[in-house]
Amino acid sequence: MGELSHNSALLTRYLLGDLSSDEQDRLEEQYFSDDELFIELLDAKDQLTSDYLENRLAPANRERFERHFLTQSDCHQELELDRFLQPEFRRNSLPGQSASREEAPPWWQAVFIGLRAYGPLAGAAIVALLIIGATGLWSALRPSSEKPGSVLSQSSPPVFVGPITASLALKPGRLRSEGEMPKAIVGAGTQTVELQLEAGAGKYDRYQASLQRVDEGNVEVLADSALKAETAAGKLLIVTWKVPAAKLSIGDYQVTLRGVSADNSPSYIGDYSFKVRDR
Amino acid sequence: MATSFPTQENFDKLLLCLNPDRERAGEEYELLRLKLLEYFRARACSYAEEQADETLNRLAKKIAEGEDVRDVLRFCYGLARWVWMESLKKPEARRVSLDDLTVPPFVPPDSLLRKEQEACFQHCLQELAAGEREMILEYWDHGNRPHREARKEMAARLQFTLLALRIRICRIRDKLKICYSDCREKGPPKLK
Repeated sequence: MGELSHNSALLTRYLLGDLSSDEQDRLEEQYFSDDELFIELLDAKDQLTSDYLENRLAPANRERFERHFLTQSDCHQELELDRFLQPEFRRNSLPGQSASREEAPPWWQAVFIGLRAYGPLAGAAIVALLIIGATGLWSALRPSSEKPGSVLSQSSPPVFVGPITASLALKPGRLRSEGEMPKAIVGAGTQTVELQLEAGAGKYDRYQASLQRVDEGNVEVLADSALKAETAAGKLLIVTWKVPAAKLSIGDYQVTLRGVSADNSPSYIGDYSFKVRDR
Repeated sequence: MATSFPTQENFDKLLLCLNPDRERAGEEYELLRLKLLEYFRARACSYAEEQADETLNRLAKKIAEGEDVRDVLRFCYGLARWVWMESLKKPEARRVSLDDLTVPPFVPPDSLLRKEQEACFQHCLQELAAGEREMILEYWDHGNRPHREARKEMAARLQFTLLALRIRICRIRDKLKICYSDCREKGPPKLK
């Protein structure tokens, strides 16, 4: 093993592009011949990556790291992967990944764990709830001829069926203050709301759209990342997004559209507002 | 002009030069490619993978031509330097100082893109064999202990050398990377 082994500070400086040309050459010549030193270098790189992703780098090193790693496209994507591999990230963000990597018990096991943990009284309550739930489910699913209220529709008010497909042409940047917001009229029979989003003249490989419910704190209700644009009149591009009507209830919505170029970098195009009503 | 990929016969000669044992030679080859990648990445080279492969192709060619290569690793280092110097002369390789490069934001601000990236990662993780998935997750997950120390223990438990463990991890990472890159291009299955 060479003189440079176990010198993680030197390896880190190399990774950050902070060595003199001579030092760099010497280290490289050495790691080509010394496998153990090279593995040490890769470990130092992983450590540096973890420190960056968990905000443990000093500002100057952070900046060097970004200049060195984020300006190379393949490194950028590797860093994305590394971020997901960090245990902290998987514990906090990714659904379905438990911290200890143990499988969650199935629901029936959970019930019995509950019975064990809270004693017979709580257990009886859980069993009672299960019986009530099962009775309700049976009542809802049994053949309609057995339902006492199966002729309910005869006395109900007429249901607005609406169009099968409701189309809406939207321009970006329309604000409430600019007048009446475009309105999609949906009914019980509406299956799809077709949003035709005006997307300017610059064409992208694909488009990403996010649909948010404005009157519920801009919560995202649907997203699509594989939309395509078609040329309409002149050079104007239209992105058509067919949204299942089941995803929309009465309320105010906003779509955010981004164009994604060949190198996967997204560019903001605009926000589109509309509302959904039943009449 | 790029050197063509070696014929099977010339590739076999290269492997033999690296190690008489075929399996060990395969590992040595993968390790050498990793070293070349780090070498070119340290120079902020945008085409690190291409440059690494060009170096390996030239190495195979030299060996096939009967060049007297006594220390293949040192020889390869010399070739890498040569490939790098040549690349600087190419008009498309106008070198830009790292300080002049615009740094793209790493963590994208919008939730849509983040969700898409996460969905792709989850999808690709599930595409791995169970053993591979366990191995790569454990490779990164060892509490607050330094990577090196924890990985030494992991290698000992699996009865690998650190080098063999690293090469296996690199293979798994490559699979993940290919799947992830493809998924990011086409969109994750659930969002399609």
